[in-house]
Amino acid sequence: MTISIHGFAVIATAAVLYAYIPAAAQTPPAKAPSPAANSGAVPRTPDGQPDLSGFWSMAALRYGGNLAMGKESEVPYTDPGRQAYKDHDAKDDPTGLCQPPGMPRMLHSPFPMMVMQDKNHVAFLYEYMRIWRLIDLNRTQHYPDVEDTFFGDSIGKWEGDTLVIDTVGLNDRTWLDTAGHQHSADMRVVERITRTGPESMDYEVTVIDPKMYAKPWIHKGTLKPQKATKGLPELLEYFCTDHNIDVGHLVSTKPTK
Amino acid sequence: MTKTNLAAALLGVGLLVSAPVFGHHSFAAEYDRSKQFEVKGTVTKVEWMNPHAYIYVDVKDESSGKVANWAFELGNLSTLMRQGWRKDSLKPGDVVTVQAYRSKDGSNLGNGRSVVLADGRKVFAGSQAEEGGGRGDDRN
Repeated sequence: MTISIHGFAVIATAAVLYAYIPAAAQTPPAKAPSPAANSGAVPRTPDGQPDLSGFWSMAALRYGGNLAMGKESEVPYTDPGRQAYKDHDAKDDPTGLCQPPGMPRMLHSPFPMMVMQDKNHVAFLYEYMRIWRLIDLNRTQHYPDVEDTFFGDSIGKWEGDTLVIDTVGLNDRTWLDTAGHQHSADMRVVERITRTGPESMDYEVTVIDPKMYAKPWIHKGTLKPQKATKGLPELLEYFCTDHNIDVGHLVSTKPTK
Repeated sequence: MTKTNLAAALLGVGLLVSAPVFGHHSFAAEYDRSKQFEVKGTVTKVEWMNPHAYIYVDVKDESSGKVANWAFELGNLSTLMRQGWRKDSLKPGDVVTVQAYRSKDGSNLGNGRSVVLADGRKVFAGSQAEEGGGRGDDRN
């Protein structure tokens, strides 16, 4: 398929193909690495740490917008956590208002991110809402005065070949996912990132929030490199606030009893 | 002309089933996934902006002759552009058939599930209705 795509001939072909491709395969270009392509050594930085840098598809962390993944009865709620979910109203979804998604929902968009890394920091540049996060690799203690923020204070350390990121200082004005699972401001989020090959990176996220969840709630996926679409860069522009005319049409979804 | 039941009947056909599309808002708070409908009309405006592209379509009621302008929410630009669509892929004056989910607030608004040109070419396909998240009605 040639792609200087302003005409319809190419588009029509793409559209026909598109109709047949499973949804999970449609967030381009998160193709599974071939065993051969992924069999090389884990890329490393000059100082020997696994090199996480590059463009990565986030599609493996989508969960369909619902961390329960169809098993709502298995969510490890506390009573307040279950009540908070029952009480949520989809019309109040923070990102529906273009508020920042916070953690871990930042990771649930289908759009890619760029990872930059040096000895002192790891930076995540997300396409979705054009948000960045900066992970401090030198500190072992959180800043005591970071609180009530959308992305908190993140410190990271290497445990063998795994980067472990600890994030606190969050507010309770974000949702865990589009489905509306809630969290408290005491939530801690731990990410464990392991580059497993030239074309793969395991990404595990743990929500630790004893007020709302009786045990850590863990999700994981394997990220694949993001390749640019011809004629476009790897990261595109996404400003939610540009034209959010949905707001005026949102209605309550709470059961009326 | 609104053919409320036709779209539902057609949606079982594999060719017309589109993929989940990411939305920044809950689908259930804006659209009713049980109310699918289909209209045919003429594109009057294309809004190529995030978080969703919109198209506006003049739809004529054949019995009364009255024309109503409908808005249809489509996918985000990131997804549409990576699929090959561009701002001028659809233009005012194009005649389209749109399958959509009706808005809950009763306005002339739908979430576009598919947009098909008169010659059958499919444009800007995809609805977020099939996403698992944001149902807002799966609490029990």
